[in-house]
Formats: sequence, C-alpha cells, structure tokens
Amino acid sequence: MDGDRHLNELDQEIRDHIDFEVQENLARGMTPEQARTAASRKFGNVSAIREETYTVWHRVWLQQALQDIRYALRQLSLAPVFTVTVMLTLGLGIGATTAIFSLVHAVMLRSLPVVDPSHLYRIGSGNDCCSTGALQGNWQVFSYSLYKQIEAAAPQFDNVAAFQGNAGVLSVRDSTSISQARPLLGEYVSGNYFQTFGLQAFAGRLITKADDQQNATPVAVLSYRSWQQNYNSSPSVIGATFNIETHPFTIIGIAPPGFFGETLSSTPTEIWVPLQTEFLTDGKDAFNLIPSQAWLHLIGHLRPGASIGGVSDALTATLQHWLITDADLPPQNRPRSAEQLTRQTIQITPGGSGIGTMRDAYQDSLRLLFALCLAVLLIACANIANLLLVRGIARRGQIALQLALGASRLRILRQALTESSVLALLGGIAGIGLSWLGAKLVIAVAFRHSTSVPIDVRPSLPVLGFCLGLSLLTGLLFGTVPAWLSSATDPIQSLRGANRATHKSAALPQKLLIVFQSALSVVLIAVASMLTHSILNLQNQDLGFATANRLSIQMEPPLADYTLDQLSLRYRDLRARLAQLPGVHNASLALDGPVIGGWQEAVVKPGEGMPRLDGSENTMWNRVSPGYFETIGLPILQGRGILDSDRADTRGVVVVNQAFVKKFLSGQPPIGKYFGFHLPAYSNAFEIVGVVADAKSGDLSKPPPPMAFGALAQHIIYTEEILQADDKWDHFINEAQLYYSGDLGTLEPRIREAFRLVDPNFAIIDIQPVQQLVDTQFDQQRAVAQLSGLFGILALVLASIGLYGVTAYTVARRTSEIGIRMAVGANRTNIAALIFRGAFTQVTIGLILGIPLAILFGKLLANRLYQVSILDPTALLIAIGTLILGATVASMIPARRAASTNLIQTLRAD
Amino acid sequence: MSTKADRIELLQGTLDLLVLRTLVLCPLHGHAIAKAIERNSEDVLLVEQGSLYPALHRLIKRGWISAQDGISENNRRAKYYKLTAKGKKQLIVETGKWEKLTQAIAQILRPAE
Repeated sequence: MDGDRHLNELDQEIRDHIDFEVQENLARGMTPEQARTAASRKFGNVSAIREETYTVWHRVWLQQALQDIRYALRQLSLAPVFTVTVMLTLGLGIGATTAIFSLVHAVMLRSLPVVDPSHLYRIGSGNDCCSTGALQGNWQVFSYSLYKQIEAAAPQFDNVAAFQGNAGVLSVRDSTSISQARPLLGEYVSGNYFQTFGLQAFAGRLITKADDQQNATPVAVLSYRSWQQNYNSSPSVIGATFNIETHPFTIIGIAPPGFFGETLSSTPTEIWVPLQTEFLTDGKDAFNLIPSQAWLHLIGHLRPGASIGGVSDALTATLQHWLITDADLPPQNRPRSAEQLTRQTIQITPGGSGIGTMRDAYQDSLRLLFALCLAVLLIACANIANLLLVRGIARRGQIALQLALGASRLRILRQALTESSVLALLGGIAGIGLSWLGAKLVIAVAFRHSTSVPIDVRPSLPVLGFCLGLSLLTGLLFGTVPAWLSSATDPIQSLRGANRATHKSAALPQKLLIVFQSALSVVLIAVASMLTHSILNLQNQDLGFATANRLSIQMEPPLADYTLDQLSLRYRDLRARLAQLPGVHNASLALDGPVIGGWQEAVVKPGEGMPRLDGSENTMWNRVSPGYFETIGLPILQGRGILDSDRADTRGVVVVNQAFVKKFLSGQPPIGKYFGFHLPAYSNAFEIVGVVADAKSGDLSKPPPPMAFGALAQHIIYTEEILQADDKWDHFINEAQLYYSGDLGTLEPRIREAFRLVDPNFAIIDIQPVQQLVDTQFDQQRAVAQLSGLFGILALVLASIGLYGVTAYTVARRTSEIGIRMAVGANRTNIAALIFRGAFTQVTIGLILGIPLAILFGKLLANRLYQVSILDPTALLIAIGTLILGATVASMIPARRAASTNLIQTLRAD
Repeated sequence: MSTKADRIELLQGTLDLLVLRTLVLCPLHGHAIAKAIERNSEDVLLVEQGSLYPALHRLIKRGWISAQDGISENNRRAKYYKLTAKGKKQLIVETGKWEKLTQAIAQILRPAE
C-alpha cells in the first residue's frame, strides 16, 4: 500500500536524522551514550510522529471506525448470551415501535396513490356523510345543485370532483347468470373523478365526462380488488353488461390496483358509476333532483399559486347566496336569522390523503399505542444500558490499561459508542422482521371481522428509515451513560483495585435506571389494566336487546322501479318465508337492526311550534315489521308492539322506549299520546300504542337513546315533496332479523334461497350473528386493550430482567462483604433480606414515581374508558402487584445465591 | 544559546510556512531543514525536530513540495525536499497572510499613539 511505503521511508529518514544529530553531538564532545540520548530527546516521540504522518496519507477516521466495528463485533461474539439478550430486547422494542409506526404511516401519513396529491384540496372539511337539508355550519357535504354552483364559482380549481359521501351498496347482477344479485360497495362519482386524481385504468378505460350525461350509456368501473375477488380477474368482465339496481350497465374498465377510493376505510369501494346514473337507479326520488339533499363530498385540484383563504371566502359567498336563492331547504331547516346565515361557511382543507374516516377513527388509538411502544423501547434502552454498565465495569481494568497505554478518552468513548451502535443496528435488523410480523398481527387483531383491509404495511422506505433512525437513536441512548462512565475510569485506581473497588458512581446510574424502568412499567401495566377493564365493561354490559341465537341479515332492496306497495308485498312475503324456515322461531324486518343505529328525526308534539335545529329534540327513528321486538328480544313493557293489523289504511301507530317517554313526555302516561316529525302540521301523525325497554343503538358505549318504532306498512302523507321523499326512503329497509336455534351452516343456504324466491334483485350484503356485530364494534378497543396488555407484560419482563441483572451483579461484587457478614454471625435469612432490601428500595421508589404518573395517564385516557374511573384502584393494584411479583422473582435468584455463599471459599478467594 | 524559558512554541501551521521559506534557496534533506530553522530563528523557536516530518508529508500531499533522492554531505543517500511551482505561489500567499496577522496583532498590543 502506498501509505505503507511512506511509513517505511519515514522510518529510514528518522534513523538518518537521529544519526546526523548523534554525529553532531559527538563532535561537540559528548560521550556516545549522551549523544544518542540527547538526539532522541530532541527528536521527540517517534511513534506519535509516525502516527501523525500516517494520518496524512490515510483516511484514519474511517479505518478507526471499521476497526472499532470489527472490535465491537469480536467483543459481542465473545459474549453470545449478552448479545442475543440485547438483540431480542431491542428487536422487540424497535419492532413494536416500527410496527405501530408503519400503521401510523399507512393510516395517517400516506397520501392517496394518485398523481400530485399535494395539490388536491377538499372543499369543506369533516366526515359527515349525508344530510337531508340541514344547515351544517362548516359545510362538509353538498347537494348536486350546490356542487354545480361551486364548480362554476371556483376557477382556481382545475377540476372539482364530486362523489358520494358515504358509499352505499349497489345490487349488481351479472346478467349472463341466473345467480342472486351481488352486493357491491358502490359509489356515484362525477365524470371528472378519475381525471382529478390523475389515474389511469388498469384495463379498459375509466369514467369520463362524456359518461356522466343523462342520455349516455350507463357504465361502471370495477375496483381491481373486486375484479380479482368477485370475478376471478376474468378479462371478459370488461365490456360485459351487468344489471346494477336492475338497470343494464356496461363495465368499461378496472381501476388501478393501489386505488381503494378516495376514502381510507375498512370497506373500500368496489364499483364506481357516474353521478348522472343516479337518475336511473333512484328514479324520480333521485338525490340529484333534490336541491337540499346533501350527499356529495367535493375534492379538487387547486391551481398552483391560488390562495386557499381567497377561494374559501369566494365559495362561502357562493354558499350563502345559494342558501337564500336556490337551496329549497325543508321548511324547518331554513336559516331563521341573518346571523345564522353568516355562520354557514366553506373551508378549503388539504385533500392529498383523501377523506380520513379511518384516520379519524384510529388516530387516537394509534397515538396511544405509539406512546406505549416508545415507553417499552425506553425500558429496553434502560435495560441494555444497565447490561452494558455491568459489562463496562467488568472491563474497567482493560479500559484502564488502554488509557495508560495512551489511548485518548475520546477514542475509548467512541469505541464504547460504536459497540452500542453495532448492537442497536443488530437489534434494528431483528426489529424489521418483528415489525413486519407485528404490523400483520396488529391488523389481524384490529380487523378480525373484516374481509378486506385496505392497509398496506409491507416495510416501505419511510418505515425502514424510521427503523434505522430509531436503532441509531436507541444505540446512542443506551450507549451514552456506559460510555461516559467507562471513559471516566481512573486508570491508577482501577488497575490497583481490580474488580473489588466499590465505586459509588457506577452503581448510582444503574439504580436510577431500575427506578426509571419500574416507574414506566407501573404506568404501562396500569394503562393496560384500565383499557382491559373498560373493554370488559363494554363486553359484559346489558345492551337491552338479546344477542344469543339472533341473526342479522343485512340486505339491500333495489331502490328504483318499486312502488311502496310492491315493496310492502315483497317484505310481507320475505318475512313469511323466513319465518317458515326450519329452526326459525321468529323473523322480522327493519329499517335498521338493533346494533347498526340509524335515522334521527326531530319530534313535534301537538300544540308546539317548529322543532329546534340543533338536534336537541331528535329521537332515533326506525321502521319495523310485526314481530320485531320479539325477534330481537326487546321486552314490551306497556301496550303492544307493531302488529299485522297496522296497515297502510289504519291509523299511524308508533312504539317508543322508556328514554323517549322520559325525554319527550316527562313521565306522563304515554299510551294514546300523539307526536310527529318535521313540521307542526304533522304533529298528529303517530299515536303511541306501546312502550318497550331501553336498548343501546348505534354506538354501544353510549347510554340508550330515545327511540321510536313505526310500522313498516304505514306512511305519512306529506304535502311537501322533500318530506315525501324522506318518507319513501325510510321504507327501504336494511336488515332482516331471525331468532333461531340450530346450525347456521344449514340455515344460510335456505335464507339465500328464500331471498331468491321473493326477488332475485334483493341483495344480501351479509349474514352475521348479532353477537358478532356487537363484537365487531368493540374490535378496535379490544385490540388496543390487548396490545397495550402485551406491551405492559413486555415492559414488566424487561424491567424484571434489568432488576435481575443488577441484583445479580451486586451480589457478585459483594461476595466478600457477604462472606465477612457471615463470618461475624449473619445467617442466611439476614443475607437474603439484605439483597431483597437493596432491590426493593429501587422498585419502591419506582412505584412512588409511577403511581401518580399512572393516575395522570388515566386522566388523559378518561374519554376512551367505559365506566372506569380515572383513579381505577383495580388497575393500580394490578400494576403494583405484578411489579412486586416481577421484582420478587427477579431478586429471588441472586438472593438465594447470596444466602448460599460458602464462607470459607469466599474468604479464601481473595 | 537562549534559555528554555525564552523559547516559543510554534503556532499551528507556522511550521509549514517556515519549511516553505527554508526550501526557497535550495533542496534540503530533513535534518538540514530542522537545523536551518533553528539557526535562522537563533534558537528562539522550539521545534521538536521530529514534528517536521508530518509537516513535510502534509506539504507533499498538498503538492507544495516534492521529494527526490540525493546524496548528503557525508555521502549518504538521503531524501531531498524541493519547492514546487505551486509551493512557491503558496509561500507568497502564506507570507502575505502571516504579515497581515503579525501587523494586526502588533496593532492590538501597541496601538498607534
């Protein structure tokens, strides 16, 4: 090597130089010995000069780094148990954190897989889906009429795409087969929808503006996933004609594989149809025809340089003008003051990551899990710092020797940090694998009832970058303290005292780390216990309705082409056929089943004015068939339920629940009272004929809401067209219920056959036990509780290992002290107590610090907890108990070893 | 000969300048350079003779001097160092810098009356 040649030459030069000097000194009259000594002294430190010259020719830092890494690897391979322990500990910490980060990334940070997401902006904000003409304040959903106005009023946008706020189910029947219609999650979109997102078809073509005309041939685009799963990726699907909601549509293409629609949700869109086909599928009741029917979300491609504030102001002006002139809101919803009108605004918000239904639903949980993971990682770091400290102290003699031989303190510091970084990177590598598995596990736990999860958690570049950064950071974190301490070693003292020195400075950081770990574990276990307590409360609560042996059939009747009378006939037929199936005790149909939740309407009582707009006079509203209460197991407390005799031509009847009576009738005898919806003119529409028990509905963690159940066969004849449409829509039912016994496997084909016999266009979306629907609602909370429990246990195990390591080390160091104690009369119990006392001092301090922290966390979690008080004694007791248990086990082994110290051997050893 | 207390340790980089200046007249081997610096500073500057060598290697790497083999006065093969064209230019630059520095320091220490 070139550098080596330089060094050889240098050696020669140095010899020559000293020779010259010696000659001169001899000439001055020195003895040969004096001459040589003087020459050497004048020349200086030969090896330092060699080294300095060497650095001129070599990239020393790189070589030293490589040397350090090689050295670190050699050291680590010499201590395989230590290395594997650290790698596993770190791998778990880093893996868990990275797994959660990859979910955070997939759900919260990732943009839509579209061209130029940074220029996409939502017009409006929030995730509300649909509204029959209420004032929204900050507007989120828009009617077709308002969409057209906004599109015209926003030249700053290249494109403004409109799409259905909450994708619904379309009944799709492959017209070449005689099979039952397939329910696909369908979305009505404007002609420029795909163009706005800059998407290209995977096959065929996508919807264009020309398709979105009233007289155009109806077309549809399938999602890649749906094409794969429902149609076996068959190329013949493209160009085929399918009956959608009974109307023929041509399938023109397949959307690109990564595109799950503009909304990240666990139920991604499967088929897109042009907005204008809604006139076809919904006939004269089309949403598009009703100016007040807000059902569209808007997203647009903002031109570079446009001011968001300016566009927001312009659109707000358009909205307010539209509200006065064209809105045609239902009478009860019209703005009642100028001030109320000015509060109606449109905001432009970033839209690059789509509509964040899922983001909103999961971000709190993900943040919580992320925080818990980081806590586990911190504990892991503290643990490894402790392990390294123990190693560092054991190696103190060696370091002292290095220092004495002239190694700089910086060099030793760097060596120690290199070793920790190498360890951390090894842990990071283990972490990548674990994170991938972990993310899959989390998804499996969180979406255990979903058929399709639109989250891609394969390790991506940002995730890998995060993992690498995290590994280096943790290396720095757990390496700093030991590195600093090891370089602070005083060589003289260390060499003299060997390993018997009882250095206070080295023991203190170890103890502090144990305190820190104990405190964090208490918090983690307390949080996990509180969340578990909460989910247990949720699962074991009294819902009000029965779940055992109850089946929910979610269905979709096609909307157009059926008059209400035709629908009534089919409903009656369907209920009769379902009730006759073997094993079925009762069958019913309802607008919404007991779990799903549903409509709200504003109650108007006779003699009262317009209902308030703020929802404070709303009740949950359901349309049910006879037998509904018996089928879902809701007890009738007074009067009667809905009967077969409640027909279109008899007086309007309604059954209410106790919460309704309490809220609207302030405890008066309810039977025989009247009320109605919307306007004072209809306040006599229903007569209360029965009262049922309270039951939860929709969000099962909320108290039972007031509910009213109308007869499916009855109608209110409204004179206002908007309200008439409303009445029609609440007869398109979503669910059939069965009370059955026997095997679901044999029942299901019979159910499907019954549907087919009634009408092949009635699509079955899903057949599920009611219990499963309930479980699904708590999936997320259960997943969070289970995962935090997992992290809590992990934290405890790590903390215990740490405590064990430190206690074992203490025992080893104090062997001679213990020997002396025994020599002067201490018995085994005394010795064990001594060790226990040492270990428990730290754990106790950890508890004292951790408990207030846990209470603080409980406070932060309060809104996520169901019937768990902020100061949850059970959770705290569990946390304290498990920590003490862990600590006992961890210090038991070293204490026993200490107690069985052989007196003679110990004293002889030194 | 001056006493040890009168000696001044060299500033960082100053040695480079002195080496360049010493080589202006003719190529010299290492020991001769060290001697010349000591002699010309009348023994005020304290040079650990060996520290000359890393400086020489540094200058070679920068291309300011070059090394060639030659025969020394006592008939031994020795490495002779010679200023390159680039080194000559650098000497002018460095000398200018040094003068500015000494002037500036002098001005601070003894402000003009």
